[in-house]
Amino acid sequence: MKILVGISKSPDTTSKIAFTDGNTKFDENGVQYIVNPYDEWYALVRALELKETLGGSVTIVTVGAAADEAVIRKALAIGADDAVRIDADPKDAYYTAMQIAEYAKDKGFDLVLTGKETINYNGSQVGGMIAEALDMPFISLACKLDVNGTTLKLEKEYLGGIQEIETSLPAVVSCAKGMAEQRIPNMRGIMAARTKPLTVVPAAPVEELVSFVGYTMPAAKSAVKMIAPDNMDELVSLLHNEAKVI
Amino acid sequence: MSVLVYINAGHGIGKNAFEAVTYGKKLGDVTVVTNGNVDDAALAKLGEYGASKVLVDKSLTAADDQQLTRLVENAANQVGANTIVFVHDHVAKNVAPRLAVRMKAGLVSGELHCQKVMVL
Repeated sequence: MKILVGISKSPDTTSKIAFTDGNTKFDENGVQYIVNPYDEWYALVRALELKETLGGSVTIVTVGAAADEAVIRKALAIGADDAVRIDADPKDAYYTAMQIAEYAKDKGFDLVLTGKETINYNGSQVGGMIAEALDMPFISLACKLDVNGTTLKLEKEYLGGIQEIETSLPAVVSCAKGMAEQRIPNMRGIMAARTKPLTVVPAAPVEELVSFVGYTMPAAKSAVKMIAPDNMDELVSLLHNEAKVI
Repeated sequence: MSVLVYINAGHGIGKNAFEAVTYGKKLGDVTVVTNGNVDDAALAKLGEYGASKVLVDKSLTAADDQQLTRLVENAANQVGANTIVFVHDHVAKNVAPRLAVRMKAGLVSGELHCQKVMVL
């Protein structure tokens, strides 16, 4: 089974978030990047599990610059067979998805897996866009995936319950919590990742449909107000007039 | 400006739908498109929130996202919509990205002024 896994980088969750150039650009100084957790823990690991039971290969694809290759090597260390870096800045979801689709369209992949979203943009757009560009079925937010011949059986959380879905390969699936258990790369994997193939391909001509004109930090949280337990009047007044929750 | 709002009425028309129509009304003249066996009285209520017209395909009851994408695309072309609004739910997460590719339209998800909205 030939599987493609979309991998993107995200700032480590302990990163200090700041903007530069008049708040029009994310300030990358001092930021440690990780593999987007949904891509790594769920999409990539499930792909590796399928390869281990059904055979085949797992290729990871990233739209990014040369500086992103350290993040790609982390994903290779977990067990992917090879990697492709599309040499471009991932300008927006459409641009990113079209780059991946352009690469994948003639490679004969049976399954394309992505994380449900990135932890920095939370857009949940790329998987569906890839599916439309490749004219494939798309199942979002899947928490379980099994393959039986050319049939995919999936589960996703739906209105407090579970929705069971079947579709045919080839397909695109975005993966959510529950799809797989995180794997920590071992020393053998880390060493092997250094020599696994990492192919750089030029970007295809794709227009950018969305531009980010600026960023604003969230408002600073106010200090906690301590209310004496025998002063319910003040508590009610604050909840009504300040917090506006009652 | 012509605005199309897609409503997922599979479990009735609820608060999210009214919010999406209200948001769309701030942008322009709203047409709602939906599908399935929806109660006409419930559809009429969308007018109270700003919808000028409602298009409904009652024969489309399956939740297949490719069919829903075609439905919304055809409706957008029919009314000449230059903005399409979705409630930020699981259907929109499947349909809006597909629609963005088909129509080569920018997609903004989780629009803050109406946090439960995806805007195409």
